[in-house]
Amino acid sequence: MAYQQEETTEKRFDPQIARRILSYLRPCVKQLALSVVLVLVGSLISLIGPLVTRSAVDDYIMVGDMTGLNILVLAWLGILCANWFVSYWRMYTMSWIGQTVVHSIRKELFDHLMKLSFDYYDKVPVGKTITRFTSDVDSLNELLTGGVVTLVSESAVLIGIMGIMLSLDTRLALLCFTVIPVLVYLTTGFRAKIVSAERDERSKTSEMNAYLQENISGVRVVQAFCREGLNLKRFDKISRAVFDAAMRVVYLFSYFWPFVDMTAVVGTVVVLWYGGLQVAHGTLSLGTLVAFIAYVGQFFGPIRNLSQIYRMVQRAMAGGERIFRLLDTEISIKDKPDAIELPPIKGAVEFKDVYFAYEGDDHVIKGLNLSVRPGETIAIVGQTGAGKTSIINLLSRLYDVNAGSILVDGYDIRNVTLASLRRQVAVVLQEPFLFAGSIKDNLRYGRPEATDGEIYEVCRQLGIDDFIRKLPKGYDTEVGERGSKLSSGQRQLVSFARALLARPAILVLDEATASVDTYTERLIQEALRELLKGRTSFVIAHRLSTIQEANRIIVIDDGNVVEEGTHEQLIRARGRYYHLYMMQFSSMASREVS
Amino acid sequence: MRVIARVYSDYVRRSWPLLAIAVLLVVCETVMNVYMPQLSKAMVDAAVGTDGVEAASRVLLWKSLVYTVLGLIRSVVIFFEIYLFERVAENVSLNVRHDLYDKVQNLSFAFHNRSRTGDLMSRMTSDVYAVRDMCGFGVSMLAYDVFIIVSVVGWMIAYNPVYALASLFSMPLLAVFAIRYSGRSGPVFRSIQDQVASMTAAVQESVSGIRVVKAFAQEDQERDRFGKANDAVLRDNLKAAKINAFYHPAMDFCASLGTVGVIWCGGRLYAQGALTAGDITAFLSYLWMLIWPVRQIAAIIRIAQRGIAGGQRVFEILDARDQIANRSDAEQIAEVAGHVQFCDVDFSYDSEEKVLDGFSLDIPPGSTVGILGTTGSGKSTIGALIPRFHDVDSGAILIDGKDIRDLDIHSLRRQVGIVPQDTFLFSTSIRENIAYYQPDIELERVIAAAKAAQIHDFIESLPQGYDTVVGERGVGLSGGQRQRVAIARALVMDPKILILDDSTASVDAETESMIQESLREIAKGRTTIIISQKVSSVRYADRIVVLRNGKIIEQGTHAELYALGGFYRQLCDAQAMPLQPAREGVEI
Repeated sequence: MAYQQEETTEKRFDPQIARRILSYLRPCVKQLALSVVLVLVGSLISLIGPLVTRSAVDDYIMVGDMTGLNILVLAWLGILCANWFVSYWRMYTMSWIGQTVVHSIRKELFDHLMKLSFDYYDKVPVGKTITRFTSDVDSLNELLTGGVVTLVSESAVLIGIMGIMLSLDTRLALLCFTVIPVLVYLTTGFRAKIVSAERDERSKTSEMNAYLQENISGVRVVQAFCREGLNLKRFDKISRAVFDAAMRVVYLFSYFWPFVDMTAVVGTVVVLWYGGLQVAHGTLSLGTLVAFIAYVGQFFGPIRNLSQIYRMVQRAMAGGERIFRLLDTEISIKDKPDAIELPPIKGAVEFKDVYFAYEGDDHVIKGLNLSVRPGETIAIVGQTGAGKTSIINLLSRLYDVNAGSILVDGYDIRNVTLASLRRQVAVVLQEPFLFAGSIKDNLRYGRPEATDGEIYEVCRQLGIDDFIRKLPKGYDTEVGERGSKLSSGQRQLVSFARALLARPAILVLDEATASVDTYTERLIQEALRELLKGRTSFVIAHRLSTIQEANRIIVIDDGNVVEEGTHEQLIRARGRYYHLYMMQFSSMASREVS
Repeated sequence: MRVIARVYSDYVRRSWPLLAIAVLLVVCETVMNVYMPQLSKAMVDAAVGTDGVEAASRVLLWKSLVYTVLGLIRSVVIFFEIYLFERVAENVSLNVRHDLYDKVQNLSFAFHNRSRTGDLMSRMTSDVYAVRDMCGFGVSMLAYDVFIIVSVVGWMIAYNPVYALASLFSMPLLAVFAIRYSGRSGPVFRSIQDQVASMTAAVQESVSGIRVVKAFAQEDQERDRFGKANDAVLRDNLKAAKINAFYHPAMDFCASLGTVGVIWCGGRLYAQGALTAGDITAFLSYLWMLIWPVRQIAAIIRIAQRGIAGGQRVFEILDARDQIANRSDAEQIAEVAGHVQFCDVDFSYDSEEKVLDGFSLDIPPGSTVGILGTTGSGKSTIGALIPRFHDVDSGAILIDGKDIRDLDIHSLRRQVGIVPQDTFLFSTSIRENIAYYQPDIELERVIAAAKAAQIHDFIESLPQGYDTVVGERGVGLSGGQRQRVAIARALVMDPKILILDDSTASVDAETESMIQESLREIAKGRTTIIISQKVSSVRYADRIVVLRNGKIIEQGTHAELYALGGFYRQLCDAQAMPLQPAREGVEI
């Protein structure tokens, strides 16, 4: 089973993406400048350490200048304290920059996510969206904090050491530098292998994560069908593949480091052997050789660390690209620049010659015309896939029509702001989504300023106050992730009340009571007669019993209205509605008659 | 500490030979690291020696060879060292993952109702990695640090105790810093891990519920909620940054302070003639060797703290007690007749409000029982208790006269096919979804089940037929289509007891009547329990049980209950459309 397509985790250096990543540093230019200075100061202090101790030994201790030694020691102590101070600010500033940038990218991502239209959500699985917020953002953070510091400080140290070595003895220095090409060759050669092994490891890991995510979400099915044993075996297989991929990376690394270490050894031996001969011949001073040995020891660390940066850059490129792709995803449904606030409406709705397709030319709504008066209750009937839900999706402008227009109180809904439109149109869905939180939080969702009194009032009217109060903590009961602690009927009831509390002018009920029992449903319908007064409502229901009292019933087939009228009219017409109705009714009546 | 001990005894110990070898190799490497500078010193001495150029070059060549050979040996040692430590770590990670997965998928429904997917995910991924890093990288750094510090300090004390004391005077301060650092950073790291998990959960929820968010135009509210979680992550990370930025340089400072001691005391002792110049240089060079290990202490502490926090979160899951377990003497049942009895069952979810209260019901083998009730009356609970997704508080449920708690859970569940209220399909082909119970089942049986569930024609109409991938990463099915796939999935098991929990709620009338039609076929030879709020779904049942507040208020056949004129009649009337058109309709 292919659980997830592989997402590339490395990408070559791309100046455009790099510039964009760096643009996030612009607000922190001051801090960045400060930290670069601090990094340089820190590197300088670490370079002069050996010089100070050497001077202490040669210039003071051997000479017996105790006062001078005291002064030197005090100065050295001062430098160490300064270094502590400098390091503190360097580390804190770098973390601050990284975290602040990451924080603002996350904020921007979420902001954009909230604006994105449904065509995005229809296509992209939740898990992938979440990855943008976690590992992709982390890869940028890694580069911005770790990468920048390493680059600046290690380059400075490396250049410093190379300069000192060259000035001490050019020939010996050049001889020593001959190992650099070997090191570069090794690094690039191994890097290709390591990068591909790491890519393999990550894709195996993400496959495992997808498997985990799905099997945790579907754990109830797993248990119901006794699949634990088989699934554990499958998981072990996937997990073992991750293990093998990880061990392959480990193997390459454990192979790579000894080689790097060996080049350092060779470099040192060359200096010792050749430098030693020079000293023996008297063409090189002892002090120079000793200094050289010390610097060769420090020479390989920075090279090793710098080679790590390339990987950070690659990872940040890949992460950055995905983040920017999300940020650049066009918002297909948005406010026009001159969109006006929709004033409080009466609830007249008009569909004018509406065409709509989710994708391409595959129209699900074909030339729909429908005019609804304020306060009217319209029932929409039709088979699965007839386009009922699409009609109401268009009304709250979750999608835009391909042709034609939808008017609310005479305003084209594309000319008003989304927020002002949606605040006046409330939808109750067949599969209600509740947020983790208390019942009260969920009820208040559509209108956060609703008072407790209003909440109780609506629930009482709907007849659900009793059931809520009987829960362990009443209105403060936590409903769990997606409302999983409530039964699906209870979730529908809560979402019903949530919609009514939003005080919409237009109420859309999409199979809103499918999971509610008939008895409760009837109570709700009675309550609705009061609650719907003055509101336009659209009701979609399979159970025809629930819609007989609608002012008008429209029957939809293949994206258009095929019948329209009151229940009585449609029954008399003996058309599609009659057919549907009889099918449901006959099943009830047959036994009784017989 | 307890977490570390447990990680060791439960996981690391299994690979102890590898670990022992790896630690031994660290000792070898340390010895070589301490020895190799001696070799270069000898070479320098030879170069300035008075034995002449000839002798010097011989010694230089010879020692260069020795140095190179030692370097080669060290390379091999390093290779095995890295490999073995990481191997131990990956072993730990593999085993922890296995245990976690096994535990999570066996935890009860009650546990899963409480927990969040995002949180469980982060425990099974990043927390496991934290533990792994502690066992591999962390242990290798610690081993290296301990040996180098012990050997250097030991050498110094053995060489000149007084001078050693002067050079190491900052070590107690270092210990104080290390202890305080680990004390202060631990809670912050744990808090970061928690905050990141809750931020992820916030994104997950907003994205999953985006329809509701958009429908109510509440993007701002979501932004606030996410903003708070995002701010909390930033706040904690900055807190950690402050702690790191203070203690890391502090430990560096302590290490460098040693050089101050060496110089200052060294100068004085040298003046008194108690030390030679060589001693001072030697002490200095050894002290330089300590700087890197001391610097690493902070990193080790950080890795350990993260590992401990991760370990805690892992063990929280492994120690969860919400498990419905087999009795030690659980009985395997092969084929049941399908006699289901509820005997005076009490049940509650949160041990507060009773969902079922003294519920008794006898369902003869092969019969069909309809359970009808108001929302929240406990209908679905009845369905969930039979396959033992939850245990009853008191009373008992018997199948063929045997208490289900005495039966092997799997052998019980294999007899019970359930079509749950919320349909969950896996991101795989329709075929694999239907054949979920037994993946290697023949296609004919899958098709037969699909036909019985009235979904075969639809599946055939898809471009890839039974191989069409569904679920989150596949094509979207409507609620009704998903439910029918779930019915087929249950039918493939050919269960003796079939439970349909509101399984036609979102199916349109035409399809429902088709399913009803075939259900009569399907129900033959099995005990079928149909849970619904639709009279039309249950009316053919041999017996209909009407439930209210966890108690049976009416039971009988459709005709009996209709005649009774009680609550069932009311429900019938509500659905039988008692208005005028009924008159016209009766003529059928």
